[in-house]
Amino acid sequence: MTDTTEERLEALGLRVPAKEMPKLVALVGDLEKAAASMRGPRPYGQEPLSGFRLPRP
Amino acid sequence: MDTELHFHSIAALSRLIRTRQLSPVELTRACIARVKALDGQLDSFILLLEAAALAEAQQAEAEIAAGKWRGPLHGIPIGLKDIYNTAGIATTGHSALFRDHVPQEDATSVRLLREAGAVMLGKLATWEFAIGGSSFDLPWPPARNPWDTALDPSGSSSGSGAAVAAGLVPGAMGSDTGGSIRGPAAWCGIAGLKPTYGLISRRGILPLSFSLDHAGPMCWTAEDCALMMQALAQHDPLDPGSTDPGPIDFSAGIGGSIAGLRIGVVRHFFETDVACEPEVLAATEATLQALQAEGAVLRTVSLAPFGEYNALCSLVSRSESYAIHENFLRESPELYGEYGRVRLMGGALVRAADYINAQRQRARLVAEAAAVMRDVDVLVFPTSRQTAGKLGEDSMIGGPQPFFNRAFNVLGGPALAVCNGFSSAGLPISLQIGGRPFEDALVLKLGDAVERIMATRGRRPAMAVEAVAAEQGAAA
Repeated sequence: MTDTTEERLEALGLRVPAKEMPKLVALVGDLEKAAASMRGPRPYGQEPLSGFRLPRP
Repeated sequence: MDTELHFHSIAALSRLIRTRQLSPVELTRACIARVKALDGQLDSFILLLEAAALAEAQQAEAEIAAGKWRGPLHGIPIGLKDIYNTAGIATTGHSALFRDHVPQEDATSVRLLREAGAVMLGKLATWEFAIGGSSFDLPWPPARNPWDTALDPSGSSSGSGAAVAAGLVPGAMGSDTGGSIRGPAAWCGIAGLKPTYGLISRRGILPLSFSLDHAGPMCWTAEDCALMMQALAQHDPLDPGSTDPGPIDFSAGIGGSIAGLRIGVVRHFFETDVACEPEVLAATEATLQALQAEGAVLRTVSLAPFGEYNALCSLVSRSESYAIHENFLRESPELYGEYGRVRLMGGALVRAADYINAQRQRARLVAEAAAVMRDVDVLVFPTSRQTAGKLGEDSMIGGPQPFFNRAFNVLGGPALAVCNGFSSAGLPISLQIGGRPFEDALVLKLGDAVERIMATRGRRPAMAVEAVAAEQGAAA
């Protein structure tokens, strides 16, 4: 993905004042670091770790 | 009226009201007068419900006179963070976007407070939509910290923290997605409980992050939080996250001994994961020693590094909050303040797989913490790494986060912030107490013990004390 943060936001229909872009770019960078820390192989024996739960009848 | 009533706890006021030594009307009038006298310096109220509150107080007075006392909240004025829907009364989220938003129904929690006989005193300042920050580009100014009005009360339940600490109202409701009850409780020197996830309905509260949002009480004492929880903790089928754990006596441990209580100290949070101010560390150690002297058993325990909780909470909350605000952000971005706009838009670029991985990791962290808590009854660490910061500074960027709150948003168990000391500058310091899910009463018990043992409840902000002294002087 080579688009800039601004271009990616524009593609989603989001407009950001230019003076706010540095803060937004920093925040997106922090979120990307957070996401990277949770990627990687996982042992499937422990799944499911996320799911849908119906209410009791 | 005795002006020192402004500094009474809900428990004390309730005893006076029940025995008819204090009229709810007199108390409500006093709170209204105090808001008018002091809130020009604090900006903690967005809307004072003067006429409606007096009418509710008159009704409470008539019921109590007729022998129909509803319980400890009957006739007690309460403030609502302005994200709680109130029927026929604007609920703004402190945002121009919702300036004219008038709900048709009360939030479930507001209905429960009314049924308990509480008096709704007003709508309180918040960070915009509970995320924006202490901003000066919104229709209302940000709340200020009563311990020093140049400082931030923290947020997002900023008005709730400031109003309770200054004695404008004895109790308030906040909400906590990443620490928004415990942050302002810490920096304003009060007690704030993020209850177990699902104990208090979120129905009718402007949402931020469905899987992390919690509603909860903010009061001067842990005991008062327990009294509010008793009215608020009811299963609500209209909130998919609501649970029904059966009856809980939230006040069961108040005033009790902590001898034998096993306290897990999460030292790596505040000794290696995040750097703390020396006075925060000193207050934490002094509190731990005092609790040990009372018979508590201290053990050092390890969880995942705090940064892992922080990262996970950011991914989940930003993704969910963007989903909630996406249409508004596309159609009317100019109606948000800068902090709110930036923080909410950041979630637009989180990938679905990363969000799901965060939720999977959350399940692992919950299991890990449950295993640790088989050997201890509660966990403790500071609420904040520092005392109150300067008003208007963006605490979300530039350096470590000020708070250790997000761990328990991720875990879902109860977490209470209580004042355990003061800095040399006279600013409050706070201890956080976390518990196993649905053991809110135990967390409140230890919080009450900390307040008593550390003797922090006799000290109020100077501006609030001076206002009382001025009233007494005028009356003399």
